[in-house]
Amino acid sequence: MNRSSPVWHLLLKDLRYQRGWLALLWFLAVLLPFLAPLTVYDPAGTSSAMNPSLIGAAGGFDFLLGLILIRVIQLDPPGRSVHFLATRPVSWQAILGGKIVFASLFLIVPVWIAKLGTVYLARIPFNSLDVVLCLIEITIEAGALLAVVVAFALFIRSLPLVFLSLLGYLLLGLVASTIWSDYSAHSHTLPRYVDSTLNACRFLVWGLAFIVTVRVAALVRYRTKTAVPPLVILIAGFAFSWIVSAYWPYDLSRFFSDQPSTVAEVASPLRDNIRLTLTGREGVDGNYLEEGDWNGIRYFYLNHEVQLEGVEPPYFAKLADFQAEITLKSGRTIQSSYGGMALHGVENGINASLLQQMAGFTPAFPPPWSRNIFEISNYRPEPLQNEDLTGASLKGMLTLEIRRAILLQTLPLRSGATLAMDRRRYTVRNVEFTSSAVSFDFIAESAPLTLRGDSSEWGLSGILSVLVQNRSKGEYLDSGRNAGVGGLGAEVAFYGVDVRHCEFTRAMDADGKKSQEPIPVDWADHAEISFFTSESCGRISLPYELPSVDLKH
Amino acid sequence: MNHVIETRDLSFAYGRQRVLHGINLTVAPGSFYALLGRNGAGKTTLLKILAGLLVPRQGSTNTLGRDSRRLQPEDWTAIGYVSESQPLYDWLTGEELIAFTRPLYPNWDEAFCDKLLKRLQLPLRRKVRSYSKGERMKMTLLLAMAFHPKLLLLDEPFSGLDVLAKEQLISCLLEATDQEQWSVVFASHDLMEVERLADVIGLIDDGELKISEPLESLQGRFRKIEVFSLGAVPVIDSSMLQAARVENGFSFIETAYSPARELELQQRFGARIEVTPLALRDIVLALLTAGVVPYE
Repeated sequence: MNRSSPVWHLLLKDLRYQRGWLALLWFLAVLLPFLAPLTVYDPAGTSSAMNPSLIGAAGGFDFLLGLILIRVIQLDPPGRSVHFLATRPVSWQAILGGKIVFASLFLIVPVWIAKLGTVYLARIPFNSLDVVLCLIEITIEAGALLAVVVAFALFIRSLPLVFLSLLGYLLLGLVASTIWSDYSAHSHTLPRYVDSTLNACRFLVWGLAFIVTVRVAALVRYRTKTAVPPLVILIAGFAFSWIVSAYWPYDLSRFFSDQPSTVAEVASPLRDNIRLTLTGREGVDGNYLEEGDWNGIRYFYLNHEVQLEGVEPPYFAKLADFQAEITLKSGRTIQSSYGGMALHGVENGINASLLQQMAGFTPAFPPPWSRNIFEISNYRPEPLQNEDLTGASLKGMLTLEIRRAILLQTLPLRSGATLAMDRRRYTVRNVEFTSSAVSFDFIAESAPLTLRGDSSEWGLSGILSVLVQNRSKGEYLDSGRNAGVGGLGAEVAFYGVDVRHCEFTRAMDADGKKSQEPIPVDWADHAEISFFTSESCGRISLPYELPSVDLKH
Repeated sequence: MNHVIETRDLSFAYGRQRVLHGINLTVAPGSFYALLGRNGAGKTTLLKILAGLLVPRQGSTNTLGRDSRRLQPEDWTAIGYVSESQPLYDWLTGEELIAFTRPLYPNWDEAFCDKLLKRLQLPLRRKVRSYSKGERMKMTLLLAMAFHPKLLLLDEPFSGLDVLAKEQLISCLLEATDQEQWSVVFASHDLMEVERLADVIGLIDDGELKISEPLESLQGRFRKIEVFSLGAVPVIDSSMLQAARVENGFSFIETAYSPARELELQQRFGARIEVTPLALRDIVLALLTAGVVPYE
């Protein structure tokens, strides 16, 4: 055998051992794409979105993946002192190489095929970069899964140790922490855990402690030659998992994101016209910050309205960052750690009135962008001295992302009307016009890729807004005020489905007045649905200042 | 390379449980070394250390001239390891298992493999999982011999085998080692078979190698001696084991027998003595039950 052939030889052996299960796995990999789009949608839109046959097929697929992976490891089990290959002229690198090639070719590839097949048959747009990133993402998840499986195998083998020694208890805790950290690595909520250097250091310390403990435990109890490969896999898996959890995909996704970077500043002349002003509210003394307390967190309300000028349709603003600092008379400062600048009346980042105007209506626009509820929170409140209650000053900075709304497409409001963009496909189904209401289901099917930064916004919310209108009648349906909306989401067999049931009982005229009559049935004849999205025009930071404020009356 | 195996002050423990202590063992090329001892004496552990499957806590160990902790895959082309606990790919047929194993060894001898197959009469078309214990052991032995190893490590190769299977294994081993000058180290409780095969005997007890000696020498210096004298049992030397009164006198086992010693004993007791050679089984039994090797 030449140098590469032992890997091939061992691979063929593993393939032969698992051929029955592999055939079933590949059958399901081919079947799933056909099954998923046909059965995923429940026409009622209100019950489970998953068909039992799909649950069975998808569950069976996942089960088989785990089963085959475990069987292929158990066949030449790492950590066991005597197995068939342990006393043959075969290096552990060749054994490991065979397992990796096996997992890559026969486990990762079918997952990839099933996912791409599902995406293709569901007609979700995927470009060539998506296809490559999809494979990388599946490989990352498979690598983490392998690390967890090996950690579990080592844990099982170490059970006697766990129950007999203090070191064992420590090992148990560390294995659990590893699995937890790996789980977190692939959780979409992870950035919350790892957004500080302190947390990253905590991960590192745990990791090092785990590696040292496992090594010591293995040396004490299992002084075997074959304890080395699982340790190598385990350490590599943990390191890989830690890198993934701490940095890699989330940083990488910036390079692959569909959205242009929002780091750039807003360009002139748009930038030159934007103004931020604080004005007092009617009937309220704007010179004091109203104090409150919630679960030990002290906060202050700013009794001013924040007005933004110079952002006219089709542009609109989203809050990107918030900073505030109160300087007390004694010189002490309170930094804001949370800015509660909620965007009231804004759907998906686009104001409803903006959509109506872009669709050709002349809505009554609300006054310039106006908020008064941002908070300056103090997480470690210290008692304020009496002399600090007056004569403080407030300085702050609001960073806004300026976006431009874009009308993508207007289609007749009929079942089957569809729009596809960026790994998502939106479809209108079950359109019904009755004497009292208009209803339809709005379905978003998406195949999010973490590596493209999709994890935080996918499905209906985030990038798309819709407006239902009847231009011949000069009326539209205001989803913000008189729509009955129910949502249902599910992640099924490699892609996500979000079903939203919308129901309207009154139309709005061009001036934004609500009709007193039910929507007539003939409204259906020329009803249309318009799809909107938006693009970033950059960020702008706007300072504000109140030279003298009181903290309490 | 003067010795195929050489250990110096070898110690091993599972956690706090001491298993081997201060083992100094040498095995000459071409010899058939039998490791004997009670259950749990440390024979299997020693074989695993020699095979590099376990790492000693202290001391050094060399196998075929290389530190056994650093045996490389190519070293395994010269080492055959057989253990009753070693798993086989039992979802393969015997034929398939041989076909899988063959390419792993550049020195695999197909003609020799066929010869062994004829001798061992293995059912090649059956799945290995359907094999009896004897058939599994024969298959394991075949896979460890067909590439002409310089060193065979056998852990309880005859355990639980019927007479015929034992005979087939032994004749195979004898033929191969006679012709090829292999070195064999094996652990066994089957003393009759050990006596047929072994050149050198190593006795492990309480984790220590108590005796490591050629079988011929061992059998040469052990004798059962009956003294036909009705007097009291005399004070015995340290070389005498199991002294006891018998019908016409007393008997003991002499561990340092020689014709000169026989003459000396005759003069010392002033009575007729009868000297009987001992089988290996009796020698080991005497060592394990008498004072030389503590017996609990």
